Formats: sequence, structure tokens, C-alpha cells
Amino acid sequence: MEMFFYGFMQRAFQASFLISLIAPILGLFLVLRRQSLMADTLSHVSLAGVALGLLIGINPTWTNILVVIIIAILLEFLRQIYRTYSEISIAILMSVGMAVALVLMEIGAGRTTLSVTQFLFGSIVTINKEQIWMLLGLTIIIGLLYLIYQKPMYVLTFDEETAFTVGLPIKMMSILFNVLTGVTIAVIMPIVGALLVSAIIILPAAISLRLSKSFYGVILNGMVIALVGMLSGLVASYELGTPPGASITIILMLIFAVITLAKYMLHYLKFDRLFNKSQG
Amino acid sequence: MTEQVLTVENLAAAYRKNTVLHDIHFTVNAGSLTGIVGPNGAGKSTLIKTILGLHPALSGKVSFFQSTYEKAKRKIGYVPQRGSVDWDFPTTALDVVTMGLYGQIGWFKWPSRFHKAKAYESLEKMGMADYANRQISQLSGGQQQRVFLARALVQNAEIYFMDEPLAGVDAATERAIMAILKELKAAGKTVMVVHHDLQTVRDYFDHVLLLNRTVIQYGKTDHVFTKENIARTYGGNMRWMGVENQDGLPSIQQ
Repeated sequence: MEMFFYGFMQRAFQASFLISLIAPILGLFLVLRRQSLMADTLSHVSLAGVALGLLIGINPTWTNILVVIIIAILLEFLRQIYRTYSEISIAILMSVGMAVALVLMEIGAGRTTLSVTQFLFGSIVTINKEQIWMLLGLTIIIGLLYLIYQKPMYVLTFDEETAFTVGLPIKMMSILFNVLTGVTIAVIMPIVGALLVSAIIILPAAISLRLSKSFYGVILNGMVIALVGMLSGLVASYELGTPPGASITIILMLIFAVITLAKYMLHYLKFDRLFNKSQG
Repeated sequence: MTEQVLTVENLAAAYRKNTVLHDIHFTVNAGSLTGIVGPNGAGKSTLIKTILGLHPALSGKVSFFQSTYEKAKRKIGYVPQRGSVDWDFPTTALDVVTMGLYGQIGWFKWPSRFHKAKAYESLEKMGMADYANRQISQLSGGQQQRVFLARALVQNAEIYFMDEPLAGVDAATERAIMAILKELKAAGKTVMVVHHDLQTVRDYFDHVLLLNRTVIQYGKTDHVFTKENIARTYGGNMRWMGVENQDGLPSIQQ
């Protein structure tokens, strides 16, 4: 219980709660738009953003957000260019982002005490008040935008052609969505680590997709799954001294395994009963 | 007098450097039910997409109700090919149909009970009421197509463009869809349908647009859907069945 008395743990729990609210919303749209790897790309790019900030001596959070916004916009244009191979843009930007990050970090080596590994794997000890406020602001913005734009986004995601014919500004909406995803990743990345931030955004929605048949059902279940995964991951991370992002990801995977197994068994039992009935 | 609902002048479109459509001219009158017919690669889907601005036009002018597409948008309904959307999407049949009402409800308001009832009614009309709360991935191809049609119906548009609504559906669905199309026509709506089955053109459509990269001919089915015109459209790759009859049913040999 003593973990709750530490300021950094309290901030970690606050951050986890906020992330659990936004991750399933973004995650579901990313999965349905076939962009689940975009989160990975943006997290690699966001490493470059951090490295740039450290190099030129500006708060890395801001350079990070700036770089990620530019790339998020670029991603939409690349998606248009390679219509049939939309994953190419992801492959290109992911490796370029990583390469730029490594080069910048090497150039800036020695100027800062922050290490690459801290951003690769994340650290709950380093969450500061400013990050919590940013996360809270972001949660409010995403929540409001979701409430306002849920119908247009729903149509855009289900059927882009119809969205166009009814006059929705589809390009604008796509870019805005990418930018929001980018900013979220830039804000969450230092906490859970660049390598696993996408897992935390994608997995709750992906697991929830197996449970609900309605859109809102997926999002609500996703929030519960994210909350359970993140909180228990944090506790595990504290107790075992493991990296938070990795602990959370493993717990989410366990949830996925349990749900898949339970669904399979339920299906099997139902089938069995039907079979026995027809026999008797 | 009949109102002109769609005028297409000098339309052309291309994919990369290959011109798919050129010199497209035609005028569609209100209350007509048109089958757009032509061989594979003739540009049937592209024609619809270019008219609706989904595909860029190289040249030409399209007007709806003697006005622009922008102004007439609310009167235009589009039913894309079934394969163009994600049927694993976590949503129910009723929700998909309700989507067709968003234009009327307003993008930022919630659908009321009245709107839900309207969507349900439309599903009922397509014989899909029992499936209203099914997730769409659990529906058969024909049922999915009916849901698509129901979504178009609630939109209450004046002119509909449908891209192969009868492709790969079962006989019952085909009958249900055709009944609805004829009902739309009777209500004075205009419907343009991309169609691939030459055998049924005469029974289904009162107008035919024969297309192969350009409009071979457009007009009343009786006048246009002749052996000569069909041969011109399909470039002679035809095998005629029941040749003793002038209007023998053609089938395509490719």
C-alpha cells in the first residue's frame, strides 16, 4: 500500500487513468482505419522529436509535439500517394524516424543526463506535474472532439466514399485525427516508452473488438480493459521493478488470451449443449 | 413535361495516364430507371464515381437539377459496391441504416426515437427487420446488400446511383431490390444502376446506357437495347442465344 504515498506513483496512477480514457477511442479508429501501425511510426518519429529538443536545449516535449504533428500531416499525404500500399508510408517514416533519432542522440551525447533507454522503455518515476496537466488537457480535447465528431468520424471510418458524397471534409478530418494521435503519442511516450506506446493505444481496442458488436460497446469495454491493464501493470511494475510499458503490455496480452480462451470455451459449451439436445 | 435531373457534358476521366472515359454526353430525366451496361473495364463504376466527384474528371461538366453538385448534394444518394466497405466493422444493421439519416438529423445531433423508427421501417421494407440488431459481419452477402439499400432508402434522395447492387446476391434479394427500385421509380425518383447481367436488362430497366469508354447509346430500353448496339458495345465478343429471335438474349464470351 505504501506505493500510493509516493508522489510519482500518484502521478503514474493519474496518468494511467487519463490514458485509459483516450487510448480506446484513438485505438478503435486506428484499427478500423487500418492504421494500427501508424501509432508505431509516430512513436519512432517522436523519439527523433525528443532527441531534437535535447540537442538544441528546448523542452523536448514541445519539439516532440511539433515534429510529430508535421509527420502526422505528411502521413496523410503519403497515404494518398500510395493508395494501394498504404503501409509503405509507415515503413518509410518508421525507419527514418528511428534513424534521425539515433543520429541526433549521438551528436548530442554528453550534453544531457537523459538517456535514450529512458525514452525507449519509459519511466514512471519521471512523470511530472506538467505532463499530467497536458494529459488532462488532451483528454478533455479528445473527449470533446469525440462527442462532437463521433457521427462524421463513424461514417468516414465505415465508408469513406459515402462520407465524401454527403459532403464531409474527409481530408481535413483525416489530418486532424492523425495530428491528435500524434500529439497523444508525444505526450504518453515518455511515460510508457516509444517502443510500447502503440501497444497501449491499440491493444485495449483490439481486445474489446472481440467482445462488443456495437461501436460504443467497443469503446466502453476498451476503457475498462485499458484501466484494468494499466493499473495492474503499474502495480506489477512497482512491485517487481519491471519497466511500466512492458508490464502493462504483458498484462493486456494476458487479458486478450483469457478473453479469447473464454470465448472459445463458451462457444464450445453452447455447441455441445445444442448437439446433446438434438441427440436427446 | 419531364424534369432533367442529370446532365453530363463532355466528361472524361483517367487512371494515371490511361483514359478510361472520354466524350461522355447524356441527359437523364426524372423518374427513369436506367441500367448502365457494358463489358468489364468499360468504366461503369468510374462513370458513377466521376459524376459524384469521387474520381477526378479530366474535363467536362456535370449538373444536377440544373444546378451544381454542391447545391444538390442532399438530393443525391449513392450505394457503393458492397466490397468497398468493411463488413467486420463493429456496428449493427440498424446503425448502418441510421447513417443514411445523418444528413437530415444534422451531423452533431443524436438520432431521436423517430429516426430510429424510420430506419427500422426501412429495414422492414427490405425484409431485414429481424436482423436489425445483428452485427453486420454476421449477415450474408445478400442481406448486407439489403442493408445498404435500406440505408439509401431512408436518405430519401431524388436521384440514386447504385454500383452493382445485384452482383452476387441470392434470387430473393434480387427480387426484393428490384421491387424497391421499381417503387422508387413509381414515386418519381431517378435511379441509375450499374448492371452486369444482360439477360435481365429488358425486364428491369426502362432506360439503358450502353457504355464502353464512351456512351455507345443512351435512351429507352426498347430503342437502345438492340443486337447491333450490344455488339457495338461489347466489340463483337458475343455469343447469341436463341438467334432466330431478333431480340435473342445475348451472353458474353470473353
